[in-house]
Amino acid sequence: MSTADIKSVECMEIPEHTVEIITNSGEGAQKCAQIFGQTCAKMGNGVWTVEIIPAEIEPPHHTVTSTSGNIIRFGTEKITNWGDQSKLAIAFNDQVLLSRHRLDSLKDDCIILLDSCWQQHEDEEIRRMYEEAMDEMSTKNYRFVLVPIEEEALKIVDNPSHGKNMFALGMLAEIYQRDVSIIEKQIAHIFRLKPPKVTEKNIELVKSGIAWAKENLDFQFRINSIPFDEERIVMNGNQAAAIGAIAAGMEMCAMYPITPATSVSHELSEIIESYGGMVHQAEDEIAAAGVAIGASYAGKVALTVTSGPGMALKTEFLALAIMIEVPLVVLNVQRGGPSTGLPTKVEQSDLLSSLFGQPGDAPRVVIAPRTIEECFHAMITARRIAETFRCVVIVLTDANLATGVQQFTRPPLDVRWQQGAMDQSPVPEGLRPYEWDLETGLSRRIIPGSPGGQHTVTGLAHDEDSLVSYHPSSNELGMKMRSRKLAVFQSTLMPPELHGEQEGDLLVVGWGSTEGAIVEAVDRACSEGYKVSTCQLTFLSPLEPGLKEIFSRFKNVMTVEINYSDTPGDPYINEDSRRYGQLAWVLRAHTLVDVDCWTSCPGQPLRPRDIYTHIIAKLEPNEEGVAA
Amino acid sequence: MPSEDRTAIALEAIRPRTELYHSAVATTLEQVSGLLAGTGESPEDQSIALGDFARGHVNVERFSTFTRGSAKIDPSAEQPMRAAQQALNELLRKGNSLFVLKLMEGANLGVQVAKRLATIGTAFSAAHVIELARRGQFSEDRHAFLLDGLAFSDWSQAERALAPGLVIELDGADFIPALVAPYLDAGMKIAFVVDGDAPAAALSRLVTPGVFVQQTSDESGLDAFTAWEGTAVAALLPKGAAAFVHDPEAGETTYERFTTLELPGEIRKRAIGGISVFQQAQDLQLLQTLAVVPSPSGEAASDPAGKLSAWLLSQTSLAGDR
Amino acid sequence: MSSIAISLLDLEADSPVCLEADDYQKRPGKWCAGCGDFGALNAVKRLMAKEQLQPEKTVFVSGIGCSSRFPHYVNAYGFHGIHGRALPVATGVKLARPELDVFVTMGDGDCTSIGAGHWIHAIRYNANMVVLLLDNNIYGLTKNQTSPTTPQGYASMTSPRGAVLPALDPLQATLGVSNASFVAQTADWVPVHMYATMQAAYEHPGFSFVRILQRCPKFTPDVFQKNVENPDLTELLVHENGVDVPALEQLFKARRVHDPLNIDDARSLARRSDMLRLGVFFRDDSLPVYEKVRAVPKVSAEEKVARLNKEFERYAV
Repeated sequence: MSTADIKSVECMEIPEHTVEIITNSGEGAQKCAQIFGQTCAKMGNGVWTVEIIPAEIEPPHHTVTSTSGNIIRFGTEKITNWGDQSKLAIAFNDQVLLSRHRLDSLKDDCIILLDSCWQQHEDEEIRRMYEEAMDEMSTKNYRFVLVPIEEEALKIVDNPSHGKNMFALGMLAEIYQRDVSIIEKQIAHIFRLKPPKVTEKNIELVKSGIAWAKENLDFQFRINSIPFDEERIVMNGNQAAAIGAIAAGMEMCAMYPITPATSVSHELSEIIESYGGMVHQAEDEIAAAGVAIGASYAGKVALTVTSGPGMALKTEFLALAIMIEVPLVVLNVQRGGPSTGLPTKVEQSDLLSSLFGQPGDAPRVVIAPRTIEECFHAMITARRIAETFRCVVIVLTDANLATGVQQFTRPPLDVRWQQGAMDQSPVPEGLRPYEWDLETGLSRRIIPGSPGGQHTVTGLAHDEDSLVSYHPSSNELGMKMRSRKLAVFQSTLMPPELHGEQEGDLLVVGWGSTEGAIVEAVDRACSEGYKVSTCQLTFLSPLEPGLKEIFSRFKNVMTVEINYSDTPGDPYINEDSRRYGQLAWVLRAHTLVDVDCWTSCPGQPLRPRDIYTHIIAKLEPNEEGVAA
Repeated sequence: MPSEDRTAIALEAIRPRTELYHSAVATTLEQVSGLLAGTGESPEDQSIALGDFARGHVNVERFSTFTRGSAKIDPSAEQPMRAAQQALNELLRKGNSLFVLKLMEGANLGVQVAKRLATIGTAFSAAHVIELARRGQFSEDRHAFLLDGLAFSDWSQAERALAPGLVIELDGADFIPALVAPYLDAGMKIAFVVDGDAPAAALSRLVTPGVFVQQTSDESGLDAFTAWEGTAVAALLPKGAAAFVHDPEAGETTYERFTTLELPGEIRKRAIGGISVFQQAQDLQLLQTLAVVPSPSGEAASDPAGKLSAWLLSQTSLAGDR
Repeated sequence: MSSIAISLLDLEADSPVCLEADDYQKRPGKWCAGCGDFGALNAVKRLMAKEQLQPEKTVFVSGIGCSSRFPHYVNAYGFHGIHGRALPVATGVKLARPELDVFVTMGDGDCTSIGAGHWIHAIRYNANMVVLLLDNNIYGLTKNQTSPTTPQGYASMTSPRGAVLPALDPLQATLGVSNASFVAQTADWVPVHMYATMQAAYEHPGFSFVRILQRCPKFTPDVFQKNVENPDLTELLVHENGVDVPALEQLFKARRVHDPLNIDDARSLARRSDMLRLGVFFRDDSLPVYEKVRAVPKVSAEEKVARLNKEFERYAV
């Protein structure tokens, strides 16, 4: 546990690495990681980043709860999830590091670059905490390297909180042999609105980090990249969804701030006005839905962006949109629930409420992007479906996609994505506002401005003329027609593709952001000879067809989800009482197959190794029938 | 300042007008796209419109059977509508260059402006084509010409209110602003960017009670021109030219409306291009009659208009010097 | 999202058909006989005829309640939404299509109770629309429950021993909100005044809030009885920038010249309970209007693609 002596540098070539930057909240870990991740992406590496965010803006420093950080997994090949554990960490103090240790986030032989200023700190209490932390972490074989991070940063800036991150970035640049010119460009871009001096200082800090690492560290890692000739972009899921909404031709986003969805509106607010659109920050979640519905009703398919608690508030309005058949796109960036739950953390707990959250029968389309790239493309498809079927489309992403950064093929933008239905041509005489095609439930949408189309939409039961009607047959017809549209849409869907063999012992079914981790776990199991396949559902309402037939080809079917389910064997939990994961509920009801589930809601993305463990447990149950 | 920079300033000065025009064209295009929705889309169009997220999940062929039946226009209307759509898109593609007319030396200002306004007017005639097609009244023989342009004289009053304005770059020798008089109506704003020797007060011929007229060599001074909600004309002349503003809101009578003034040194008495000394003198005398304060003593007051008239009087000796 | 998004297809001269008041009625109102809503509907029809509003370019938005059936009876586009939420919908319509004329009808429960949050903020947005609060002091459709505007002591099914709290005054509440731009009060028993008030409300560029005092023939038939019987208990606020109906001079002796630009006087008049006051309390045409403030030029699909491609440069690898 001492500063490394100057030695010959050993450079290991490895396929991938996972790095953590762990700091107090407010010390710039995100900026450091953002630049590092972007640099890796620009150098052609596969990248996946995960933010570690405390709930408070700036909790007391130097505590286990003040941890703010970022995990960057990058490698030669495409990276689809955050992996298992970190192999290298830069920690600004022992307490934030301890919090990561306690979460079992660090690999047993993790290299930890820890600020050296705490060990001999003048404050006795700090020294005591340091000792205790080190003691607690001594159960692992971490390789500590003490680095005078603060001391070095102070040579360049007065406030080390605004400099240590760039020094750390410099060390990472040296350890992983990153292209410094890319880093410099990133820094210049990030601080483009500040005086040039800020950029200069930051670059100076990076350089001092590089110099220090060069002089003092005896290891380096080489992660090659595969040359690519396509154009790529790198962004997080919320940015992708925001830009996707513009690419889809949407001009109105009505929202109310809610973590982790808000940054969609940040991105949109920044640029949408130069696309003739606007972000309306409403007085509350309900009003945000109302404004979006009003704009959609008036002819321009609108977007509202929210997260679980906001969805709950919008419930009544969404039912109205469904009832009057106004197209609407709702982006729900899921977080931990129930109630305020885990605002900054990932969960997939809104599936059932998204499917069934309204009073009465309220059929709607629910889709779930699996990757950041799909967050972009889903917005285009969502708008098209909403308009074609005059329906509400809920796009379910989550905090993992929202804040994770990944590179993907630059979408070839197309004007046809924006094709609108702003049609105000006169309404032919006798055309009724809900002239449902009795076979498909489809009807022509008439918007204000169309001469002769005057009618009043109503959330009350209504007939084809949009007149309030309590007549039994007209109520049943309306129900039928609104539901029929979903069946019609389902008839256009294709069965999901499987990853792996078409039959076997176990099919793992997931949805949304867990795809990468599930595939990695399944591949690991397959490489060991297990007969496991997986499929990741993207259309959840209506469900992709053919599921029952696909399930029948596997001895077992199990969902893997980031939400709560009872664990068999826990007190009172038995066949009768067990509550299943949300997708498992849906699939069991839909297919009458005895679908099992393994779910977890730790407030962080799933680890491939945990999924792997439960795959093996499902295939080779021990005596208790649960995972070893 | 190079004329490109002055052109940029002039364009900025008419930006509210050009934005209004572009915005209207874009809005119209959105509606046309709505009218054409479900019409003549190839399977490929459908597939792309549905987005990449649907790829591998949605059978586009089947999906499109549910959108295809939704055509709202008669098949015969599609071709003219698409032609109009294309014409509108082409106008937008020109960007701001649509509003900048660079007059070749010796070209006729009036003719060129008429041509450019006709091109701009294509937006309006394209809208006529769309309406005719929608109503099933479009006839190739009788209406196809509409997409070749619409002369300003044929613009309706509502269309004139959407006139985007023009920036005209020209040589001083061609600076005969009176040639644009027929186009000064409703929302029209014209800004001349004049290079080289120019007649000192040619713009005076456009001073009418309801038109904002400004001649300046100080490019920062166009705010009032921009803010004026109505017909306006401005000229950016090289340094040293006379500068005046005729602001219709500044008073009841013409002389009251002359609000600011910068005076050049003595004007050289010589023809500029085809503009003779006499013609220049007429410009000045006109300005004088407009600007002179009618005072019984004939004494020029110290107000701007008075100063202007005094200066003008000192210059009029070139009158009659043909 | 732009008030400068004029469509060239709208420039053609409209057919010179002249619509009469009755042309704006789509079907007979189905309220109870004697309901104040009929009077409001009549005034609206007259206003529409006077202004020759195009039915297809006019949208009536409502919530839930007796008064929210209003849109069904008007020859225009209508949006009969959910309880308390008319204003967000109307705001959305106006933001998306500023060229449309938007009217909102709400009851006292709709506006001042379940929708109170939206009410406050809609006042502040000051989107250009005519907002009618059809205030009969009671929940009628759900059969006689106390509303925020029910007079203290007035009995209902939920307050059989009389409303316990002083009534909420919508005028004071509205006048207290920043950016409030038009606040007026009229009554169903003075139809001439109601029409004149709606006229002023329509002319005002902004959120024109009109509280219409009216009686529910079933549950509050007597709530304004004293005022109905004795015009001397009512004071008319008159001004050239507000409402001034000479025909009412005979009937209403109490008249006060009140400049609607004076917010302090407006507030103090609204606060005083000595008399019932009808007229325009406040009007300021110069306040920022939301859809105008937010207006940006419309951009074509092609141009959007070009700009997005540039945007991608920011994220290019």
